[in-house]
Amino acid sequence: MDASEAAAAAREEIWDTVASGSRSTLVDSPPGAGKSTLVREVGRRARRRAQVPIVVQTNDQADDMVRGFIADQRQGADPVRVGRLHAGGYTRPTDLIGPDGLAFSTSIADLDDSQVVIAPAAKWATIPFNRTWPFAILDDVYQMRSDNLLPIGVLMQSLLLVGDPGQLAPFTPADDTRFRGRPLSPVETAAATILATQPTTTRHALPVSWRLPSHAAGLVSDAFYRTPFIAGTQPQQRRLHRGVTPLRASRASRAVSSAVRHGWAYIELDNLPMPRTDPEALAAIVNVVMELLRADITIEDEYGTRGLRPTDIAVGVSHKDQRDYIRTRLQDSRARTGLPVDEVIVDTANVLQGREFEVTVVWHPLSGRRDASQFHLDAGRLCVLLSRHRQACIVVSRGGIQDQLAGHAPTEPVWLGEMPPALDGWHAHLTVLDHLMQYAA
Amino acid sequence: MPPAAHVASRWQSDRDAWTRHSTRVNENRAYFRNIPTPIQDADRLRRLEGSTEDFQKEMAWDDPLVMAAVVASGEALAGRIVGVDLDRRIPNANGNMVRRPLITIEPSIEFARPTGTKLYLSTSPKVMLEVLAFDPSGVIRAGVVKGPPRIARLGCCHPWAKKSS
Repeated sequence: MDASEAAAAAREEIWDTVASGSRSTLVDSPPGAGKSTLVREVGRRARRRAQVPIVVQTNDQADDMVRGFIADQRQGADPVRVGRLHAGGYTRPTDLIGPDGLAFSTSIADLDDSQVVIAPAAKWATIPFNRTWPFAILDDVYQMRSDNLLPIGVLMQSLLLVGDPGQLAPFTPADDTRFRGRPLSPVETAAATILATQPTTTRHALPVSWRLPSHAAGLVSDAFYRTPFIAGTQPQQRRLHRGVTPLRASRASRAVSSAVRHGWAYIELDNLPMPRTDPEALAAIVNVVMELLRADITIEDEYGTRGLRPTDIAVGVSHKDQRDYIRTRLQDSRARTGLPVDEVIVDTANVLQGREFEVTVVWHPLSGRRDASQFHLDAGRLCVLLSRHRQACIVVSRGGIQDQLAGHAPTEPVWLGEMPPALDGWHAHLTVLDHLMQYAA
Repeated sequence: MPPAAHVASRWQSDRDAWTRHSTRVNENRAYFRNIPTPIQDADRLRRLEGSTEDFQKEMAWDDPLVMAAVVASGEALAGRIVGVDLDRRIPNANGNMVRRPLITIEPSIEFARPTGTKLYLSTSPKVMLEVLAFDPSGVIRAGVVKGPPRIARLGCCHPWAKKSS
């Protein structure tokens, strides 16, 4: 059975479980395994019986889901009347003004005519309890906090929950000591809560990642996932070609060449403890982004051949101040050089979750730190940063990460009654570093 | 040492909470669960998150030393207002022209935040501003996005960037 047959068989199996009336069905999905496609396909099939609410986590995700339904329709799928439920201050994106069968409202009562209603969890939480639906789909349940599920669960009689277990878990900025280790803690994920309250939940896994190229799927699967998955494409299907050879070989140009040739590159700066907004790491990342645009790269993949655009590139960081410094430097570089580097997407791992790009540049979460704190060691953060690309990934870091990992014992308290994390951050970081060292520029 | 500006409001909310608790005790309604229900936990967590965020902002607004630290880290912007255009009008989502004043600030230290960063006025936190296009001269131009239209008090403020992680 090839990759596309395996993926189609998995989707059929999931639909059979849903159609058999299972009260809750949980689907674990690796990065880029067609999670959104699955949600839309099940939504399209289930709408024949009753209106289907789709619960996502943010307004952007809700808008992307609406765009997905419109794109399916353009490719010949049956038309679906989509309702977008939103809060008062929401501004409708310009590309969503106009398409037929699309309704926007702040009130669920206005959307009775819609077959599928999409809204973020926070908006669904405002629906009065006298409304119920026989079946609903929850997207990104491993990123949804249990307390967001509480006001929604009661509205829906059966659920399909879809999520990526390897990514960042939800968190709270408040002191959560009193909630830890308790059954049905509000800081747990919605998936964990459903598994605890509905022990008969049927679990499925999607077996193929369509996003990750063959040279990345193995590493991400080994380092971050308990259920292994494979890449949906063959090595010869995804390639980068460099149009311009640099006159002078800099570290950035060597990294770009390695990324073009192998799909991976690693820039290791001197081993120094540095503040979060390390100026040298910042400069290295900006240089790599500029080099990527100067190199006139052509992308070859299963859809054809085209040039690499600035919006195909993402820079992934751990902190908002790192993001802001890079964005400002890129805006500055645009003003000086005229290269459209400021169109490159720069964001934190939390925001990049669920998105995909051709090439990513990653600021390693442990770069320049003296310690290895839980926040920076979180396997989910590294997993998000290393699994956004379809072609190549370039990682920038200070040296000495092995020593940091070896020299710092975990300082996080162990909570009685709480399950240990399924993945060991230490092990995941070391596996990734061993791999990256082969591509040091 | 004089009490900080936000102490009075925190003291008032503490007194209100104590009054509510005393009322329940007096009316013999003060029951407490040993193990809260998930709904009680969720409600408590939401309140805790709200007060944690408010407290961090209030500390910075109340204490110049705390504010200096956040200004130095680039999370807040402090500077001198060098220009105010109170009559600036821009189209809103429905196409109507609405009044959205513009202020120009000369930052006291370099403020490395990109276009679109949201700022809140420390003297009037309901006023939200957005940093407009990057200006190579270093001055920051910020347009009011929401808040009361009377901002005659704009002359003495540090806009405060929403706290980053």
